[in-house]
Amino acid sequence: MSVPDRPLTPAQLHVLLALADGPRHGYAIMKAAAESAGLSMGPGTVYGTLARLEGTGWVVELPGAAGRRRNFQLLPPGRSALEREAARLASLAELLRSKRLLGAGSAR
Amino acid sequence: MSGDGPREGGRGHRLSLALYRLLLRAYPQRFRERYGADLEEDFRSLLSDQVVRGELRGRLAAWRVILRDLAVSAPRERIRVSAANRLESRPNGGTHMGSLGFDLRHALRGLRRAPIFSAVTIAILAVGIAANTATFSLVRHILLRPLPLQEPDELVLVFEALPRAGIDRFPFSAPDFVDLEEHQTFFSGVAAFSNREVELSGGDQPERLVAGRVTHDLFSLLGVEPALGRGFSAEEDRPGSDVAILDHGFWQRRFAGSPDILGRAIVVDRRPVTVVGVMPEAFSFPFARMPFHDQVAELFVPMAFTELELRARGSMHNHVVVARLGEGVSLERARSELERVAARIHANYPPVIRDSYELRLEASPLRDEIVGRAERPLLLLLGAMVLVLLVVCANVANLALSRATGRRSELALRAAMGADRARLFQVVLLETVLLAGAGGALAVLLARLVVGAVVARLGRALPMGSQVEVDASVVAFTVAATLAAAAIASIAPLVVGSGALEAVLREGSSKTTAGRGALRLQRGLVVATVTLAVVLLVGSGLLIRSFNRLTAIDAGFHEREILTMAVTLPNAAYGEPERVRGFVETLQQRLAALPAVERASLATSLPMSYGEIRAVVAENPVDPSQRRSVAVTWSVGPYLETLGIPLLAGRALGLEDRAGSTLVAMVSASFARQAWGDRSPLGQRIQWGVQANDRFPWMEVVGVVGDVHDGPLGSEPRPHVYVPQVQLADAELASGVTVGSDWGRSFRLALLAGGDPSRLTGAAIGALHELDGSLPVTDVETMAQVVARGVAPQRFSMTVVSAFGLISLLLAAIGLYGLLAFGVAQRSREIGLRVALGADRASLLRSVVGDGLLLVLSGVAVGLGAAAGLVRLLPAVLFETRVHDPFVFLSVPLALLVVAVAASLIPALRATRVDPMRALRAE
Repeated sequence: MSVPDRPLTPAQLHVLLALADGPRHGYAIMKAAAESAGLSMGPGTVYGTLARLEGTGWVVELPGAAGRRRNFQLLPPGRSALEREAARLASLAELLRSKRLLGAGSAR
Repeated sequence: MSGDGPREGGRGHRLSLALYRLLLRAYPQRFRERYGADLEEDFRSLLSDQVVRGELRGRLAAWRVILRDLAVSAPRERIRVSAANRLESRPNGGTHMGSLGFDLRHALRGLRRAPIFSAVTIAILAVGIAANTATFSLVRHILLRPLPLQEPDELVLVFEALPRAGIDRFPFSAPDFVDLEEHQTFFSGVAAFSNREVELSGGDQPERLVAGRVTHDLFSLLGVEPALGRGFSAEEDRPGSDVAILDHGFWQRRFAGSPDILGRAIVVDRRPVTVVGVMPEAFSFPFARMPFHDQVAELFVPMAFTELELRARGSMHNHVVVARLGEGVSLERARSELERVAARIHANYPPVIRDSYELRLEASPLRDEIVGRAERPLLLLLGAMVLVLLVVCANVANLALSRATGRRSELALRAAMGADRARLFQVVLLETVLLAGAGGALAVLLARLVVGAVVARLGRALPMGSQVEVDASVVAFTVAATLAAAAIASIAPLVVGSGALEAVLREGSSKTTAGRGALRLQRGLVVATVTLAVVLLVGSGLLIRSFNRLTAIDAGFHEREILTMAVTLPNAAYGEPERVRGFVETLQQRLAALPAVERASLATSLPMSYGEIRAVVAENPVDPSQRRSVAVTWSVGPYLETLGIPLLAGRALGLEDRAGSTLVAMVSASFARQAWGDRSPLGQRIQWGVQANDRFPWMEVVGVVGDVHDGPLGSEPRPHVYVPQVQLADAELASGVTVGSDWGRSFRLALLAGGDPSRLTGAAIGALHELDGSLPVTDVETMAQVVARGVAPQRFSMTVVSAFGLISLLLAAIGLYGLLAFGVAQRSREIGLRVALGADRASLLRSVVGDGLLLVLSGVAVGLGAAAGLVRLLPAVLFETRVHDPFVFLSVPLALLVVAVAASLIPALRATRVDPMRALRAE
C-alpha cells in the first residue's frame, strides 16, 4: 500500500524521526518520541506503525538473535519521505510566520 | 539502553504483566505472534522506568499509556488484518470499483450485525413503499388510464337539454342525431352509441352481455382501429345487419383469444351474427364514468336505427353523441354553432310537442367528462400518498442517522487506517442500497397482495378490470425517494463530522458526544413525522365521520335479508305481451311458495339503481307550469313488503289490480308534496307525458309511500311512481319488441328471506329454470351488497387514507421509540451516575417520558395547525361533516399522546434499570 504525497501521521513521523539517527528497537523509539516531542506512544502503536512502514518499504527489520529485541532501520525511501515531510512542515512554518502566528524567535 | 533496567519488580509487576498478557489478545493473532514478545518486554521496561517516579503513581501512569495505546491500536490492527486478507484474496483490489464485491460483503456483514436496525428499516420501507405503490397503481388504473385515442382533446360529447323542464342534459333521440349529422359543419365527424343488454346463446351456457350499439364511424372518429379484422361499413349500419365486433376481453374470455373467430357466427338474441373484428386490448368502451352509458360493452353491433326510432321525435333519448372538433374550430365556436343547429332540430318537431320542448344542445370536452369528475378524490389520495412518502423518508433517515452516529468511531478508525473517505461512503451507501432493495422487493410482493385483495373485494364496484398491474415506475420512484433520504442521512454525519472523525479517534473512545447536530436533526425528524401523522389522521378521521354519516342515512328500505337477481325475457320468445305477463306472474307465485321465502316480488328496477325515468303530468297540480320527471317502477307481487318500504297512506298495489281494471299507481311522498302540496293525493290522477295528452290513459293514485334513495346515497331522493306490471299497455310493451330493446321485459327479482338470503339462490334459480331453462340469470347479489357498492368509492378513499394514517402513526411511534431508546443507551453512563448520586427512578422515568411527550406535543401542535389549513380542501368529498369537526380534532391528538407514552415507556423503564456500577465501569 503505497501512500505517496500525504502528510505523515504523528506516529509515522516520530517513528521515522527516531530511526533517522540509526537502527533502534521499539522501546527506544517510544522513549525518543517522548523525549523529543512529548508524544507518548504505546508499544501497540509503535509496532503497528513499524509494520505498516515495513509494508511500504520505508523501514526494514534487522536480522537478530532470537529472544533479543528487534531492531529496525530506516531505508532510503523512508528517508526521502521524511525529507518531504520536513519540507512540508517547513513551508507550513513559513506560512505561519508570514501570518505572524509564529515569530522568528517565538515573539510573544 | 533502558531496556536493561531492573527486571524484578515484585508481585505488583507480575500481576500487571499477567493482566497485560491477557489484554494482548485484543490484537490479531498474527500481530501477537510477531510482536508479542516485544510488547511484553516494552511494557516491562515502561513499568520499570515509571516506577522510578514512585511505586503506585508510576504503575498507574504506565497503565494509562498502555490502555490508551491498546484502545487505539488493537482495533486498528484488526481492521488492517481484514484489509490484508482482502488484498491477498483479490490481487487487483484497492481501487473503488475493484473492491465493490468486498465492500458489498462488508456491508452485508454490517447489516447482519445490526439485525434490529436492518429489520425495522426494511419493514418500514416495505410497508411505506407498498402502500404508495398499491394506491397509485389502483388510482392510475381506475382514474388515469390513458385514453387510447387520437387527439383526445378534440373530442367532445354532445347532449340535448330542456332548460325549461330543468333538465340540463340528456342523450339524443335517433331523429335528432340524424338532424345534427345533416346540419352541422363545424365538427369533422359525429357518431353515436348506446348500450343495451343482449342474450348470447349457442354455447355451453347462455349469458347476458352488455352490447354497444355504435354508428359505423364511431371507432374511426375516436381514432381506434380493430386489432383483428375490420370495422363496420356504412352499409352495415342499417336494420337487418348481422355483424358484430368483439371486445378484446370478451374475445379472450369466451373464445380463448382464438384467431379464427373472424367470420364465425355467434347467436345474439337468438339470431346468428358474423364476427368481423376484435377491438384492441387497451380499448374498453364506453369509458369509465362516461355519462349515461358507462358499462363496458363486450360486443359491438351497428347502431342501425329502426324506422320506429327514426320517427320517435321527443322520445327514446338514448344515444350519447361523440364529435370531433373540425380543424381550427374552438369549443366556443362549436357551442354557438350548436345553438343554430338546435333551432333547426326544434323546427322539425311536430307542432303538438314543439311548444313544450325548448331544445338546446350542449357540448362538453370528453376529457373533462371522464377525468374531470374524478379529480378531487384523486388529488386527495395523491396528497395522502405524498404525506406517507414523507413519513417513510423521515423515518428511514432517522434510523440511518442513529446508525451512522453509533458507528462513527468505527468509521473514524477506518479513516485513520487510510481508508479513503469515498471508500467509506461506498460502504455506507451499499448498506443503504441493500436495505432499500430488500424493502422494495418486499414492497412489490405486499403491493401485489393489497391490489389483489382490493380488486377481489371492490372489483365489481369500482370501474376497473381484473388485471391491475403493480406499477413498476412507481416502485422505482418510491424506492429512489426513500433511498435518497436514507443515503443523505447516513452520509451527512460523515461529511459534517469529517474533522470530528479524527477527534473521535484521538479520544480513543467508542463513546462520543460529537453528533449533537445529528441528534438535533433526529429530534426534528421525529417532530416532522408526528406532524405528518397528525395531518393524515385528521384527514382519515374526517373521511370516517363522513362515511358513517353517509351510511347512516335511512335509504328508505330494508337492506337486510334480501336476495336480488336479474333476468331478461328475450323478445324473440316473449314478443306477445300476454306471455310476458303470464311468465312474471307465475314466477312470482312460485318464488313466493318457496320454503324460507317470506316475500317475493319482481320489478323493472330496485332501489339504489336508476330505473326508467319518465315525464309525468299531475291532475290539479299546485303549480301547473312545473314539468315533472319521475322514476318509474313496474312491479309484480308485494313490492313494498319485500323491500320494507313504508306505506304512508291509502293502499298498496295488490291482486285486485288486473290488466282490465282501473289503472292505478302509488306515488312517493316527495312526489305527492311537489304535485299537490298539502292536499291528499289519494284519488288524484296522473298521466305519462310532458303535458296532458290523448296518448296515455290516466292512472288513479291509490297509495303514498316513503321516499327511497334510487341514486347514490347522499343525493336527493327522486320523486317516484310505482305501477303494476300487469297494467303496462300492450302497445308499450310491443314497442320494445319493434325497437329491439328489452324495455319492459327486464326484471329484478327481490326475495325476502327469514335468514341468510344467499342460501335462497339455488332454489330461486331452480324455480326460474323450471319455467324457462334457457334464461340466463345475472347480478345475483344481496341488497346489502348493492348498497355497499353504492358507497364503494367513498369506502375506497376512506380505507386508503385511514390505512395511510395508521401507517404514519405506527412509523411515528417507531421513530420516537428509536430515538428515545438510542438516547437512553447513549446516556447510560450519565444515567448511571445520576442513579449513583441518588436520583430516584420515578424522576428518571418522568424525564424520558417527558422528553418523548415534548417531541410529540410539538409535532401535534404543528400538525393540527397544518391540518386545520389543509382540510379546507376537503369539503367536496365530505358528506354532512364540518372540516373542523371537533371530535376529530380532539381525538387525533389524544391518540398520538397515548401512542407517545407507550413508545416512551420501554426506553424509560430501561433507563430506570441502568445498573450504575456497570454503566460507570463501562469505558
